[in-house]
Formats: sequence, C-alpha cells, structure tokens
Amino acid sequence: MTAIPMGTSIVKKQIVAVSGLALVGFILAHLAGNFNIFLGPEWLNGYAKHLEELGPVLWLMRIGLLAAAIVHITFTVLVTIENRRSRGVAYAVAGSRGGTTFAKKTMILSGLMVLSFLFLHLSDFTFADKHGSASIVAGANGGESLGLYGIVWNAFLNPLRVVVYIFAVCCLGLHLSHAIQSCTQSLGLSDEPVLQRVTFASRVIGALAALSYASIPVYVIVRHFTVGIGV
Amino acid sequence: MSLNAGIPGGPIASKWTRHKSEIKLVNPANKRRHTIIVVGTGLAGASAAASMSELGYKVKSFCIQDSPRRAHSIAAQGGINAAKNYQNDGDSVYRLFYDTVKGGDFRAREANVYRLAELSVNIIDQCVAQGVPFAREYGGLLDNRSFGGAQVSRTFYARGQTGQQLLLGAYGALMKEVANGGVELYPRHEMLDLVVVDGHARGIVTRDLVSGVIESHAADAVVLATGGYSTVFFLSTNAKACNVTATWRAHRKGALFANPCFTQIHPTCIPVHDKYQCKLTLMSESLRNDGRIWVPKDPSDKRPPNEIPESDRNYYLEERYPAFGNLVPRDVASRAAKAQCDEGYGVGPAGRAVYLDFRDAIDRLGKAKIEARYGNLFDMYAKIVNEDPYETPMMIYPAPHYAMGGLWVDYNLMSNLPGLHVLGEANFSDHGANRLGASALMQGLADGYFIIPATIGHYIASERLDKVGTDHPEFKAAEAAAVERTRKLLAINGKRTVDYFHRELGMLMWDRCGMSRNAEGLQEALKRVPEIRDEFWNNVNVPGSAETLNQSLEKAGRVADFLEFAETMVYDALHREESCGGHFREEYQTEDHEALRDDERFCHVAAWEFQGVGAEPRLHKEALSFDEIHLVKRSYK
Amino acid sequence: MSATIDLTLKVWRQQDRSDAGHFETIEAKDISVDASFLEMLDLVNERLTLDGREPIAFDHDCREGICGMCGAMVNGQAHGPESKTTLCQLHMRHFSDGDTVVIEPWRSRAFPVLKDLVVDRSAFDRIIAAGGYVSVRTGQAPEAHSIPVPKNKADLAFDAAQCIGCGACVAACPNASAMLFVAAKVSHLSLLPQGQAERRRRARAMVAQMDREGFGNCSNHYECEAACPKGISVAHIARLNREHLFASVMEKVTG
Repeated sequence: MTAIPMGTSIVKKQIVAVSGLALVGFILAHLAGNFNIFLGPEWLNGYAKHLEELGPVLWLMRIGLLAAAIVHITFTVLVTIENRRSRGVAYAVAGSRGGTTFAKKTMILSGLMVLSFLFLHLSDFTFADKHGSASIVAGANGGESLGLYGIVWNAFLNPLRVVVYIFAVCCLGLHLSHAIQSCTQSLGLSDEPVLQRVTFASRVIGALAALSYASIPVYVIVRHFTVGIGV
Repeated sequence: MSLNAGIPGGPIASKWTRHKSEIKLVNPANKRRHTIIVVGTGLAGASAAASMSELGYKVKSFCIQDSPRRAHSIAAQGGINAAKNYQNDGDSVYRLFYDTVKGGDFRAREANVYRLAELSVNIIDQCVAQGVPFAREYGGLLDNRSFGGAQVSRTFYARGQTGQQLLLGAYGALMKEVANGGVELYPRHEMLDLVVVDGHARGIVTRDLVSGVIESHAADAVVLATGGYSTVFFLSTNAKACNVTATWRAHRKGALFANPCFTQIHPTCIPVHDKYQCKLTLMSESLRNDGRIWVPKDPSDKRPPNEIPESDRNYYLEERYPAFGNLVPRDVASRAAKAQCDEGYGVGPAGRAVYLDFRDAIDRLGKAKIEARYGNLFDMYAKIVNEDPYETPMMIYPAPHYAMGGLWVDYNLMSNLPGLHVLGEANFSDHGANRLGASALMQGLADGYFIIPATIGHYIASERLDKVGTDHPEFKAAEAAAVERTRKLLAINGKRTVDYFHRELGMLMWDRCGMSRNAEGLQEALKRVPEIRDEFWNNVNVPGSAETLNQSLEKAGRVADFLEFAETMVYDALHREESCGGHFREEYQTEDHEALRDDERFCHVAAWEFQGVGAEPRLHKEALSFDEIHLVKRSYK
Repeated sequence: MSATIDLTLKVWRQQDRSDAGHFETIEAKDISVDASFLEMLDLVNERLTLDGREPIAFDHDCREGICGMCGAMVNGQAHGPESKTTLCQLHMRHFSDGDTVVIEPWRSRAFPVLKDLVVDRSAFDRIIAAGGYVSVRTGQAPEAHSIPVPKNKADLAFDAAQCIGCGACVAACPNASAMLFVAAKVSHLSLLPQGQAERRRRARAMVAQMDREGFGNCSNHYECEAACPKGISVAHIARLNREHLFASVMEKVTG
C-alpha cells in the first residue's frame, strides 16, 4: 500500500495548497512592508516598531506562519514520498512533452532553498538586535544606531550576502510562479477559460515578487555608491 | 432438423409486447441460483451482462482484451438509429422497420426487424439516462443527422465517436454490476470451446491469456456476443483481435451458422497503400453527405486530381443513381467503386481507389463548417496518408467491415442448441444481406439491454436444468482437446508465421469471396482453402510456450478456426445463386449491372450444420415470408 | 513503394510479472516510412519469429486510436513523439534513418508489467467500478427529451468523456498519478444532469480507489494533458479537485 493515511491524495494536495496560500499571503504582505525601505529609515523602523508593538498578536501571527510552514512542508514530504514510490521502475529515457516546466520540476529544490535561506534571514533581520552594533552604519546618523534600516543597509553592503539573498528570492519567485497556479488548480478554482490566465498571472506574480525583493539590495548598493545613505 | 424461429403470432406491431407477457418468468429468489456466461463485452455483451445481473442472475463475463471497454464496438463512428421522430420529418417505427428490411435486401426476418425498430427508442432513453453525451442542439435537446442514405434524420451521434460513448455507457453499467457483486469479470480470457451436456449449452472452456491456464466454467446458459468475422479477409477495418473462434467453436458443437457469405464491404475506407499493412481504416460514411465521389473519365489521365477539370471527371454515383447520388447504401457504393477500378479508372498508386472530393462543399459551406463536421476524420486521413484532404481530394476504397451472417438464432435469440444464445454481430438476425449505417449499434444494444434479459428467463424457466459441474466428462473432454490443440500448434515448429497464413487466406477470400463472386472463383477457393489449412498445420511456426502470455499462440488458434470457417463461407456463397445486398454473384446481374435477386429460390436463411473439417456442411433452410412489406426490387435510382 | 529507413530498437523484454526484465537491442531494417509504429513492430516480430526468437509482446487492438489498448514509451514519450496520437496512429515518417528507438512499457506500480510491453491496467477498471457510472437500471429510463442539457455543458462533458483509458497520463506523469483518468470520468458525469444524484459519492469513491491502487498524487505538472492522445484538459482535474473538496465538506456537514 503506497498511500499514507493522511486523507486522500486530493486532500493532501489541498492542505499543501491552503498552507501554501497562507505563506504566499505572508510573502506579499512582507514585501509590502519591506517597501518602507525606499521611504527612508523612519518609515522602515516605524514599520518594525509597529509590528513589535503588536506583541502577542505578532506572536500569534508568527505561530500561525510557522504552523503553515510546518504543515506545508510535512504534507509536501508525504506526497513526494508517495510519488516516488508510485513509479516503481524508473524509465531508461525520461522525456517531457512540455507539460512540466523547470519551475515545476524544481519545486522541492526551490522550496528547500527558500527554507534554508529563511534561517539566515531570521537571524539576520527578524531576531537581530535592532539597536546593536550591526545597526550602526559607519559615517551615518552620527554613529548612532539606525535600527532595522541600519541592519539592512549593512547586510547588503556584503557582496556574498547580496548574492545569497538575490539567489534566494529568485528561488522564491520560481517557486511562486508555479505555486499560485498550482494552489488554484488543487483547490479546484481554475476552470477551462481561467486556467491559462491563472498560469500567466502566477508567473507574473512570481517574477514580480522576485524582482521586488531583489530591488531592495540593489537599491542599497546603488544608493551607497551614488548619493550615499543620506542620514 | 427443422428450423423454427418461434415467431409469436398476432399483428407485427404487438408481437414483442405480447411475447414478453406470455413467456415464462424466473422467480426473483431463484435467479441468483442461475449462472449465465456472457462471452464478449461489446455493446451486446456488456449490456446483456449488466442487465441480466440487474435482474439477479449470477453472470460471468469474459473478454479477450485487458478491459471490457476495449471491445470493437468502441470504434463505431457514425451513430445509432432510433425512430424517435424528434425532427418531425415523418419518421416512425414502421418506417425504420421498412428501411431496414429493404436495406437488408429482404433477407432478414420481419418480426425481428420490427422489434429492433420498436426498441430503438428505448435505447436512446437508456443511454441518455446513463450519461452518454450525445450531440445536442442549442436548445439542449438531442440532435439528429441523416445517415447512410436514409430519407429522414434519425441518427443520434456523439461527434465521430458514437460507438465509444455507447460502449462506455454499457461498460459503466457492467462495472456497476461488478461492484454490486452480480458480475464476475474475466478479462484476458479467451473462449476456446463450448461445452454441451445432454444437448444443452452448459459452459465454456477458456484460456487465461496471461497465465496460459486452460479451465472450465459451468453455467445454466451461455450467451455469445463475440462480434463478426470480417478479419477472415485479413485486411479489414475490424480490430486485430476480432475473430470467429467463439462462434466457430459453437458451430462445431452443433450450432448452425447462418448466411456466412453476407459480409459488408464499407465504401469509405483508406485504400491499401503497402504490402506490410495489416489493418485498414474506416472513415465514417457521413463523409458522403458532403463529399462527391469521382474518377477521371480517361483511365490514362495521370494529372493530379485538382488539375482535372470538371468536364474530365466522372461522378459515377450521381450519374447512375440520381435520386440518392453519393448516398446510396454501402453495398451499392462499394460495388460501384470496385467496378470503376476493375475497368481501369481507379486512382492512387495501385489504381485501387476513387476520389472523394470536398472542393465543392468547401466552396459552398466554407472550410470552417467542413472542419466542424469532419475535422477528426480529416485529421485521421492526413495522419495516415500524409496528404491534406482540405486541399487534395481524399482517396477511398471499400474494405471489409461487418458480418451480417452469424450463428442462427430464433426470435428469442437462442441458437438451435438449447441454452446457447447469440447477440449482436455474432448472430445473423436483423440485417439481412446488407446492414444500413447506424444500425449495428442499435442491434447490439437492443439485443443486450432489452431482448436477452426477457428471453433468457423463458429458457431457464422452461428447462429442468440439473446441476452440472466442471468435473463433468464433457468439460474434461473439452479441456483436454483444447490443451492438445495448443500443444499441437506449438509443436509444428514450421517455417512460416501465423500472419503469413492469415494473409494468404485473406487475399484468397478477398479475391474469390469478396465484393463480387462467381462460381468459378468460389470453386477455386474451395480447392485452395484446404490447401492453405493443410500447410498451416504442417508448416506454421508458433514460438513461445503455452504457460505464458503468448500472442502468437492466440493468433494461431484464431487463424486455424478461420481456415475452417472460410470453407463454409465459400459454400454459402456458392449455394446462393443470386445477388443480394453484400453478396454479389457476377452471374446474376441485370443488364445494367445491378444485383439480381432470386426470391423464388433464395428467399430463405441458409443455415449450415457442421459435418467435420473439410466436409461439406449440411444446409438447412429457414423460409422467409414477407407479410408486411412486399418483396420489391431494391432500387436507388 | 515508399521510402524505407533502418532503425535500432532497444526494447524492454520481460518474461512475466516476476522477471526482472532487461533491454534487448534489435535491428529493424527496411521499415517503410508509411508504416505505423505497430506495423513496424509486426514486421520486426515476423522476422524474430522466423529467426527462432520470441516476438515482442505488445497490446493493440483497433489500430484506429480509439480502443486505448496500445501504448508504450517511445524515447521517453508516451505514445511516441507526435502529440494527440496513439502509438497505432504514429507513423514511421516521424523517424529518421539510423535512429535508435528506446521502447519501454508504461511504468507505474499500479500497472505491473505482464510481459515485454504489456501491462496490467485493471486498476482503471476497479476505479470505474468504484463509481464511474450512473446507477440506472435497464428499462427504467425516462424519455430522453425530458431533461434538456445545455449544449455547452454537453460539449464539455463530451470533451471529458473522450478518454480512451490507455494509461498514457499515468505513464507520462512524473508521479505516475491517475488524476486525469479519474478526473475525466468524474467531470463527464458531474457536468450532466443525469450524474447529479451520485455526484458526491462518485468523486469520493473513485479517488479513494485511485489511492488504494497506488497511483501517485497530482502535483500539477500537466504532462498528462500533453501526453493524452485525446487532448483531455487538466481543467477537468481542477473540477475533480473541486468536486472532491465539496463532497468531503458535505460529508462532514451532512454525514
């Protein structure tokens, strides 16, 4: 028996889809928040402060997100194990007729990349001491802490970190480009006329998310080498 | 042996209703104590198995394919006739009955055909209720088209895949009964023999095509729905697995084979284009609704068809049959194409094809409309022939397609062997000497859904059927014979393949007993068939073993049966000294080369009794009387 | 006489269910480009037989692309390189002289190999038996015109109903999932008024059976749609997902 008794194959996929959609919601909200960086330190730090002031609500949201991520990953693992078993003997020549895409084939990989990056990201920004040494930008703000803004600024002046960050958001974009379409399909929200458009929209959202997230380090670097931090 | 069809009395329109209320019934509690074997899962077999299981009988359903859904009914394209008169164009049960009797060239039983026409309306209701997605109009009601030269629009269709959709409906019904426990399914099982105990059909011997195990199955009645024998010609539009084995084995055990020479050659098939070919492809004759058939007027005209001007084209069907034109029945259209090619007017590489041209239809209706009507057929043609039929006229040639002949059955669809019932194409009953388009599906489903469920009860209730187990000596003897035959086939180890013999036989039958026949050719066939058969049994090479999946062995058994059956088919063609329907004897034609029927001498069913391999079978005649429809010359001029 | 080509076949040979199986290299010379793929195999089998070797076992029947019996992986493609084409309708003109052609059976744990290229697809029959029908008894059907069906719905139902049950969707799916097959039947019947009464039960029962057979899960690769000889759309899978979700929820709500 191949099936792991956690609901039918469709229910499992729908659990992956719903948890995935929660994560997509977070990613888009997070992106919107991050755009504060373009408005300057007050805006970004204000946004961070506002979040922290939510207190228990913030923790509730974090726990919710964590739960979504755990469910998403657990069920993906279950489904993947079943899928691997289902083929039995592998094909000597494996071809594609264009149904699948690079993004679809690398969902597990891109997901794992995003997950590993998440730990770096959490320690870099989320749980960093917002007023510690990392928040002080040399030659700016009179040597005083620039809060989260300062942390981000410093982080993105490190080329290695920029490369890792951009690679990670590309993985995220790739993941999303299939994920959104896949979620609507699994939940049965797409229909004959909608399917093509959802597929297109999913790719656009994936690309925009990657570009938008990537615009932050690019912005920092460009600003550093042009007008400077300006505070 | 006197053949009694058991046709009930009374006016034709009430025969079936009256018969149903007069025949015996089986007590509901007793039905589950009776086992019925159904061989074949096409329209007739699947619908019969499902319906009898619904009634409470224990049904064992056998098929040679991997799933009941593969049966060759699935390939029927055009549609299914029913006298619904939804189009208000004057159709009625009587008119469908009349058309079918006339179309069959007055060689079918009136009472059977009337019942078929009567049941046609129930079939549509039944299939719609099953969820068969018939074509519909914008108002949501069922659409009809005119088909096969009918003067009314009574054909229901599901794009070009009507057979598929009907079969999937019947298959669904069958699987429902499998789930309910009423039907036990035996896919990949081939019937190798019929077992007769005390004169009654009591079971079959089968080979499990995967394990090779030969085993017996006992029952109170056996129903054969095993299709037709057109693959006797090797090249045909039938599926590769279609064969005569089940009916031939029953024939050897005493069932009479009726009118085996009545075979239908379908006019719109893709011509043979190479010698390696082993299968011909049919395109729905609905193509003739818009396509015009022609050949060049000058046999030496080798210009590409589009360069041949109107004045140099011979639209021979339109000229000869102004009333029906390109829509004459199949036998007439096929024979006319053959005549053109025989006289040297044929086109294509081998000169064995005629043009079917859509140029005028595309000019008149536009390419889009033609595409909507025939798109799938045009694609199929382009895929096989590698030419675009929107640009270049199609080439077509007739090909064997359907067998009107089959095991003799009475009004209850029971053969002369008590307990052996035969349905669908496997029996001889309803199409006479020529089947009209969209009538095969109708007959298969009428037999399976509506007739056999009623008449099987009459048989079971009428007989005292003692319990017979598979340990009965008759079963053991039949099993031993099947094992021995298999052993023999594998031991010959000769120098020729099974397909070689099938091809040899097929070519011979096509030449001598195909679209047109004459005494001399038939006599020659009678000489040649035994020669091929003898060589087969001495020089065939059947590789592999009996204990595994062995497709060569399967084929060998079927070809061996064809090599016996072919002789009977030729005897029948030789005996019938008249031309009617699909059977055209060159000696019997009018001055303008139309078929010349002989109602004085041949208004009967010729039912043949097996007398041993190579021995001339014994002829029994069932006289046909036409009380409702007067015997007239069948003319489409 | 049409042009011919020479090919090298690498064919999967397996004696029976328990045999491990292996690839065998067979030369296929002088193959007419107008022959179908199965006619090519027929010819190869004729020659193998005359050479005293066992012919290649492969399933086939109608050779018109409608029975669903044939099918094999040809160079990694279900039913070969042409789209919307069954193996029997694939012609050798799509190959070139000197090509090596790798022929493998459908691979799925739910489709055990019986011999060479022949697989056991009875799992599909069991899925249909679980609910792929309308439970109407013979003889009780109402007049066909009593329930009109909007043409667009009827057409859509037909699109789904075209499934020939060949198994190419499973073979081509990276997960060996049977979702397109199940979706086609669920979709066909859920779109028609006749299928409404059993709609929920059908979706749940067929999916449960599909899982029991050991097919994989759908992860929306859509290789099935690309491989389907009838071009059945994955939109039907979305409909199945919806039907199943609704059926499961209603099951919890109404019991």
